[in-house]
Amino acid sequence: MNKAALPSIGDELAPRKRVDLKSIKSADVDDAEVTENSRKLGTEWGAQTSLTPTPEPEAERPKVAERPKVPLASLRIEVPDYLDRELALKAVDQRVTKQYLVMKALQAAGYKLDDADLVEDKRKQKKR
Amino acid sequence: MALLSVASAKGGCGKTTLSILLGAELAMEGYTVALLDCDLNQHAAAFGKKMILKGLKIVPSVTEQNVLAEMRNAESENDMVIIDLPGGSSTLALKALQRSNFVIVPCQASLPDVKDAVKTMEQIADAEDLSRVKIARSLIWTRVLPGFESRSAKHVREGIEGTGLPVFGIQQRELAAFREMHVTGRVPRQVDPKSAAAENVTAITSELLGKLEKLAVAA
Repeated sequence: MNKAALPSIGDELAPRKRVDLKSIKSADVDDAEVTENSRKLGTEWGAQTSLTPTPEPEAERPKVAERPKVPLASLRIEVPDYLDRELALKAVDQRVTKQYLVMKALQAAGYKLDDADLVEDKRKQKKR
Repeated sequence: MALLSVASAKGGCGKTTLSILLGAELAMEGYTVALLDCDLNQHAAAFGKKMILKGLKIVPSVTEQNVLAEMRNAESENDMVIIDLPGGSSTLALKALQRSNFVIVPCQASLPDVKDAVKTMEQIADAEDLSRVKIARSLIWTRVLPGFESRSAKHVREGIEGTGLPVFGIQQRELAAFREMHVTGRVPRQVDPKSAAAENVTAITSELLGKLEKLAVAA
Protein backbone atom coordinates (compact mmCIF):
# COMPACT_ATOMS: atom_id res chain seq x y z
CA MET A 1 0.00 0.00 0.00
CA ASN A 2 1.37 3.39 -0.98
CA LYS A 3 1.37 5.94 1.79
CA ALA A 4 0.32 9.52 0.95
CA ALA A 5 3.18 11.97 0.65
CA LEU A 6 3.70 14.11 3.71
CA PRO A 7 3.04 17.84 3.29
CA SER A 8 5.98 20.17 2.81
CA ILE A 9 7.42 21.69 5.97
CA GLY A 10 9.47 24.27 4.07
CA ASP A 11 7.32 27.18 5.24
CA GLU A 12 7.72 26.17 8.84
CA LEU A 13 11.52 25.93 8.58
CA ALA A 14 11.96 29.30 6.92
CA PRO A 15 12.92 32.11 9.30
CA ARG A 16 10.00 34.27 10.32
CA LYS A 17 9.72 37.22 8.00
CA ARG A 18 10.07 40.64 9.55
CA VAL A 19 6.71 42.05 10.64
CA ASP A 20 6.08 45.59 9.45
CA LEU A 21 5.26 46.99 12.89
CA LYS A 22 5.45 50.55 11.59
CA SER A 23 2.31 49.96 9.55
CA ILE A 24 0.26 49.52 12.74
CA LYS A 25 -1.43 52.84 13.43
CA SER A 26 -1.76 54.24 16.93
CA ALA A 27 -5.20 55.10 18.26
CA ASP A 28 -6.38 58.48 17.01
CA VAL A 29 -7.73 59.80 20.30
CA ASP A 30 -6.66 63.21 21.58
CA ASP A 31 -5.13 63.69 25.01
CA ALA A 32 -8.12 65.59 26.44
CA GLU A 33 -10.44 62.75 25.48
CA VAL A 34 -8.08 60.11 26.88
CA THR A 35 -7.85 62.07 30.15
CA GLU A 36 -11.62 62.48 30.39
CA ASN A 37 -12.18 58.79 29.57
CA SER A 38 -9.63 57.83 32.24
CA ARG A 39 -11.48 59.95 34.78
CA LYS A 40 -14.75 58.20 33.91
CA LEU A 41 -13.16 54.75 34.03
CA GLY A 42 -11.29 55.60 37.22
CA THR A 43 -14.54 56.60 38.90
CA GLU A 44 -16.14 53.32 37.85
CA TRP A 45 -13.20 51.09 38.77
CA GLY A 46 -11.89 53.01 41.78
CA ALA A 47 -8.56 53.75 40.10
CA GLN A 48 -5.82 55.39 42.12
CA THR A 49 -3.45 57.96 40.73
CA SER A 50 0.19 57.04 41.02
CA LEU A 51 3.57 58.69 41.02
CA THR A 52 1.94 62.05 41.66
CA PRO A 53 4.07 64.50 43.63
CA THR A 54 3.75 64.03 47.39
CA PRO A 55 2.45 67.13 49.14
CA GLU A 56 4.95 68.95 51.32
CA PRO A 57 4.71 68.16 55.02
CA GLU A 58 2.73 70.75 56.97
CA ALA A 59 5.77 71.93 58.93
CA GLU A 60 7.85 72.60 55.80
CA ARG A 61 5.24 74.61 53.96
CA PRO A 62 6.18 78.30 53.96
CA LYS A 63 3.86 80.40 56.04
CA VAL A 64 1.80 82.84 54.00
CA ALA A 65 0.37 85.96 55.58
CA GLU A 66 -3.37 85.52 56.13
CA ARG A 67 -5.45 87.65 53.80
CA PRO A 68 -8.85 88.87 54.93
CA LYS A 69 -11.61 86.78 53.35
CA VAL A 70 -13.43 88.50 50.50
CA PRO A 71 -17.22 88.14 50.63
CA LEU A 72 -18.41 85.75 47.94
CA ALA A 73 -21.57 85.86 45.84
CA SER A 74 -23.15 82.97 43.97
CA LEU A 75 -23.62 83.35 40.21
CA ARG A 76 -25.65 80.72 38.35
CA ILE A 77 -25.58 80.90 34.57
CA GLU A 78 -26.74 78.69 31.73
CA VAL A 79 -24.50 78.08 28.75
CA PRO A 80 -24.86 75.94 25.62
CA ASP A 81 -23.98 72.29 26.17
CA TYR A 82 -21.04 72.42 23.73
CA LEU A 83 -19.47 75.29 25.69
CA ASP A 84 -19.95 73.42 28.95
CA ARG A 85 -18.29 70.36 27.39
CA GLU A 86 -15.34 72.40 26.13
CA LEU A 87 -14.92 73.93 29.57
CA ALA A 88 -15.06 70.48 31.20
CA LEU A 89 -12.41 69.05 28.88
CA LYS A 90 -10.10 72.03 29.38
CA ALA A 91 -10.62 71.91 33.13
CA VAL A 92 -9.60 68.23 33.24
CA ASP A 93 -6.64 68.86 31.00
CA GLN A 94 -5.37 71.82 33.05
CA ARG A 95 -6.43 70.33 36.42
CA VAL A 96 -8.48 73.39 37.34
CA THR A 97 -12.20 74.02 37.79
CA LYS A 98 -14.63 75.34 35.21
CA GLN A 99 -15.25 78.26 37.57
CA TYR A 100 -11.56 79.16 37.36
CA LEU A 101 -11.62 79.12 33.54
CA VAL A 102 -14.68 81.41 33.43
CA MET A 103 -13.23 83.84 36.01
CA LYS A 104 -9.89 83.92 34.20
CA ALA A 105 -11.67 84.77 30.94
CA LEU A 106 -13.54 87.58 32.71
CA GLN A 107 -10.29 88.92 34.16
CA ALA A 108 -8.69 88.80 30.70
CA ALA A 109 -11.69 90.72 29.32
CA GLY A 110 -10.93 93.58 31.73
CA TYR A 111 -13.20 92.86 34.68
CA LYS A 112 -11.62 93.67 38.07
CA LEU A 113 -10.53 90.47 39.76
CA ASP A 114 -7.55 90.24 42.12
CA ASP A 115 -5.11 87.42 41.34
CA ALA A 116 -5.46 86.25 44.94
CA ASP A 117 -9.16 85.58 44.29
CA LEU A 118 -8.43 83.59 41.16
CA VAL A 119 -8.02 80.09 42.58
CA GLU A 120 -7.41 77.11 40.31
CA ASP A 121 -9.30 74.63 42.46
CA LYS A 122 -10.69 75.54 45.88
CA ARG A 123 -11.21 71.86 46.72
CA LYS A 124 -7.42 71.41 46.78
CA GLN A 125 -7.09 74.27 49.28
CA LYS A 126 -9.61 72.67 51.58
CA LYS A 127 -7.69 69.38 51.59
CA ARG A 128 -4.54 71.08 52.97
CA MET B 1 4.83 51.19 15.17
CA ALA B 2 3.05 49.02 17.67
CA LEU B 3 2.14 50.15 21.18
CA LEU B 4 2.08 47.17 23.53
CA SER B 5 0.99 47.53 27.15
CA VAL B 6 1.77 44.87 29.72
CA ALA B 7 -0.96 45.29 32.32
CA SER B 8 -2.62 43.60 35.25
CA ALA B 9 -4.41 44.81 38.33
CA LYS B 10 -2.40 42.17 40.22
CA GLY B 11 1.14 42.81 41.39
CA GLY B 12 3.85 40.14 41.20
CA CYS B 13 2.45 38.33 38.15
CA GLY B 14 5.56 39.03 36.05
CA LYS B 15 4.73 42.22 34.12
CA THR B 16 8.22 43.72 34.36
CA THR B 17 10.05 40.47 33.65
CA LEU B 18 7.89 39.82 30.59
CA SER B 19 8.30 43.42 29.39
CA ILE B 20 12.10 43.18 29.56
CA LEU B 21 12.20 39.75 27.94
CA LEU B 22 9.99 40.81 25.02
CA GLY B 23 11.84 44.10 24.56
CA ALA B 24 15.24 42.40 24.55
CA GLU B 25 14.15 39.57 22.23
CA LEU B 26 12.63 41.98 19.71
CA ALA B 27 15.76 44.16 19.85
CA MET B 28 17.92 41.11 19.14
CA GLU B 29 15.66 40.33 16.17
CA GLY B 30 16.52 43.74 14.73
CA TYR B 31 13.52 45.81 15.82
CA THR B 32 14.02 49.12 17.58
CA VAL B 33 12.22 49.03 20.90
CA ALA B 34 11.47 51.51 23.69
CA LEU B 35 10.34 50.19 27.05
CA LEU B 36 8.54 52.76 29.20
CA ASP B 37 8.86 51.99 32.92
CA CYS B 38 5.65 53.27 34.51
CA ASP B 39 5.97 51.27 37.72
CA LEU B 40 6.78 52.99 41.00
CA ASN B 41 9.31 50.25 41.74
CA GLN B 42 11.37 51.13 38.63
CA HIS B 43 12.74 47.58 38.27
CA ALA B 44 12.88 47.80 34.47
CA ALA B 45 14.80 51.07 34.76
CA ALA B 46 17.26 49.38 37.13
CA PHE B 47 17.73 46.60 34.55
CA GLY B 48 18.28 49.27 31.90
CA LYS B 49 21.23 50.69 33.82
CA LYS B 50 22.98 47.29 33.73
CA MET B 51 22.09 46.00 30.27
CA ILE B 52 24.17 46.34 27.14
CA LEU B 53 21.81 45.72 24.24
CA LYS B 54 21.59 47.57 20.95
CA GLY B 55 18.08 48.45 19.83
CA LEU B 56 16.44 48.53 23.28
CA LYS B 57 16.00 51.79 25.15
CA ILE B 58 14.46 51.81 28.62
CA VAL B 59 12.74 55.07 29.58
CA PRO B 60 12.52 55.51 33.37
CA SER B 61 10.10 57.45 35.58
CA VAL B 62 7.09 57.59 33.30
CA THR B 63 4.20 59.07 35.26
CA GLU B 64 0.48 59.72 34.94
CA GLN B 65 1.34 63.26 33.85
CA ASN B 66 3.80 62.42 31.06
CA VAL B 67 2.76 58.95 29.87
CA LEU B 68 0.88 60.14 26.76
CA ALA B 69 3.74 62.43 25.71
CA GLU B 70 6.35 59.70 26.35
CA MET B 71 4.31 57.23 24.28
CA ARG B 72 4.17 59.72 21.43
CA ASN B 73 7.92 60.42 21.62
CA ALA B 74 8.78 56.75 21.70
CA GLU B 75 6.46 55.71 18.88
CA SER B 76 8.00 58.24 16.51
CA GLU B 77 11.46 56.70 16.91
CA ASN B 78 10.82 52.96 17.32
CA ASP B 79 9.21 49.91 15.72
CA MET B 80 7.74 48.85 19.04
CA VAL B 81 6.88 50.60 22.29
CA ILE B 82 6.36 48.40 25.35
CA ILE B 83 4.64 49.98 28.35
CA ASP B 84 5.35 48.26 31.66
CA LEU B 85 2.38 49.34 33.77
CA PRO B 86 2.09 49.35 37.56
CA GLY B 87 -0.09 46.83 39.40
CA GLY B 88 -3.48 47.97 40.64
CA SER B 89 -6.02 50.13 38.88
CA SER B 90 -4.44 53.50 38.13
CA THR B 91 -5.24 56.51 36.00
CA LEU B 92 -1.81 56.02 34.45
CA ALA B 93 -2.74 52.53 33.27
CA LEU B 94 -6.16 53.65 31.99
CA LYS B 95 -4.51 56.35 29.88
CA ALA B 96 -1.93 53.94 28.43
CA LEU B 97 -4.54 51.28 27.64
CA GLN B 98 -6.56 53.66 25.48
CA ARG B 99 -3.53 54.38 23.30
CA SER B 100 -2.38 50.76 22.99
CA ASN B 101 -2.69 48.53 19.93
CA PHE B 102 -2.25 45.39 22.00
CA VAL B 103 -2.39 44.58 25.70
CA ILE B 104 -0.82 41.50 27.27
CA VAL B 105 -2.22 40.52 30.66
CA PRO B 106 0.22 38.27 32.54
CA CYS B 107 -1.48 35.90 34.95
CA GLN B 108 -0.44 33.11 37.27
CA ALA B 109 -2.72 30.09 37.58
CA SER B 110 -4.16 31.07 40.94
CA LEU B 111 -7.61 32.38 41.77
CA PRO B 112 -6.52 35.87 42.99
CA ASP B 113 -4.43 36.37 39.83
CA VAL B 114 -7.22 35.21 37.55
CA LYS B 115 -9.80 37.44 39.21
CA ASP B 116 -7.54 40.47 38.77
CA ALA B 117 -6.69 39.48 35.20
CA VAL B 118 -10.39 39.28 34.32
CA LYS B 119 -10.87 42.70 35.93
CA THR B 120 -8.06 44.09 33.77
CA MET B 121 -9.62 42.56 30.64
CA GLU B 122 -12.94 44.23 31.53
CA GLN B 123 -11.18 47.57 32.02
CA ILE B 124 -9.64 47.20 28.55
CA ALA B 125 -13.09 46.48 27.11
CA ASP B 126 -14.46 49.62 28.81
CA ALA B 127 -11.52 51.69 27.56
CA GLU B 128 -12.19 50.34 24.07
CA ASP B 129 -15.86 51.33 24.26
CA LEU B 130 -15.09 54.84 25.47
CA SER B 131 -12.28 55.59 23.04
CA ARG B 132 -14.06 53.79 20.17
CA VAL B 133 -10.74 52.23 19.12
CA LYS B 134 -10.04 48.51 18.86
CA ILE B 135 -7.60 47.30 21.54
CA ALA B 136 -6.42 43.74 20.89
CA ARG B 137 -5.56 41.83 24.05
CA SER B 138 -4.60 38.45 25.34
CA LEU B 139 -3.88 36.85 28.67
CA ILE B 140 -0.63 34.89 29.09
CA TRP B 141 0.08 32.32 31.78
CA THR B 142 3.23 33.30 33.64
CA ARG B 143 5.58 31.73 36.18
CA VAL B 144 4.40 28.27 35.17
CA LEU B 145 6.37 25.55 36.95
CA PRO B 146 8.07 23.22 34.44
CA GLY B 147 6.81 19.68 34.28
CA PHE B 148 4.11 19.84 36.91
CA GLU B 149 0.67 21.41 37.09
CA SER B 150 -1.13 21.27 40.42
CA ARG B 151 -4.79 20.30 40.64
CA SER B 152 -5.84 23.82 41.61
CA ALA B 153 -3.71 25.42 38.87
CA LYS B 154 -5.27 23.15 36.27
CA HIS B 155 -8.74 23.91 37.61
CA VAL B 156 -8.15 27.67 37.42
CA ARG B 157 -6.51 27.48 33.98
CA GLU B 158 -9.35 25.41 32.53
CA GLY B 159 -11.86 27.75 34.14
CA ILE B 160 -10.47 30.83 32.43
CA GLU B 161 -9.94 29.07 29.11
CA GLY B 162 -13.59 28.05 29.26
CA THR B 163 -14.66 31.68 29.34
CA GLY B 164 -13.41 32.22 25.79
CA LEU B 165 -10.99 34.98 26.76
CA PRO B 166 -8.01 35.13 24.38
CA VAL B 167 -5.01 33.33 25.87
CA PHE B 168 -1.47 32.83 24.52
CA GLY B 169 -0.81 29.23 23.54
CA ILE B 170 2.73 29.54 24.91
CA GLN B 171 3.18 29.89 28.65
CA GLN B 172 6.00 31.78 30.32
CA ARG B 173 7.78 29.30 32.52
CA GLU B 174 9.20 29.92 35.98
CA LEU B 175 12.94 29.66 35.38
CA ALA B 176 15.97 30.82 37.37
CA ALA B 177 17.35 32.65 34.33
CA PHE B 178 14.41 35.08 34.44
CA ARG B 179 15.36 36.09 37.97
CA GLU B 180 19.09 36.18 37.28
CA MET B 181 18.73 38.71 34.49
CA HIS B 182 17.72 41.37 37.03
CA VAL B 183 21.04 40.77 38.79
CA THR B 184 23.30 40.47 35.74
CA GLY B 185 21.61 42.81 33.28
CA ARG B 186 21.80 40.03 30.65
CA VAL B 187 18.73 38.26 29.25
CA PRO B 188 18.79 34.46 28.77
CA ARG B 189 19.54 34.67 25.04
CA GLN B 190 22.67 36.69 25.79
CA VAL B 191 23.81 34.12 28.36
CA ASP B 192 22.94 30.91 26.47
CA PRO B 193 20.87 31.12 23.27
CA LYS B 194 20.08 27.40 23.46
CA SER B 195 18.81 27.43 27.04
CA ALA B 196 15.23 26.54 27.91
CA ALA B 197 14.67 30.12 29.06
CA ALA B 198 15.90 31.60 25.77
CA GLU B 199 13.75 29.18 23.78
CA ASN B 200 10.72 30.00 25.93
CA VAL B 201 11.14 33.73 25.26
CA THR B 202 11.63 33.15 21.54
CA ALA B 203 8.40 31.13 21.39
CA ILE B 204 6.40 33.80 23.27
CA THR B 205 7.79 36.56 21.06
CA SER B 206 7.05 34.57 17.93
CA GLU B 207 3.42 34.13 18.99
CA LEU B 208 3.18 37.84 19.80
CA LEU B 209 4.61 38.79 16.40
CA GLY B 210 2.04 36.54 14.75
CA LYS B 211 -0.73 38.44 16.54
CA LEU B 212 0.81 41.81 15.64
CA GLU B 213 1.21 40.71 12.03
CA LYS B 214 -2.58 40.30 11.85
CA LEU B 215 -2.98 43.87 13.13
CA ALA B 216 -0.43 45.11 10.57
CA VAL B 217 -2.29 43.37 7.74
CA ALA B 218 -5.62 44.80 8.94
CA ALA B 219 -4.17 48.36 9.16
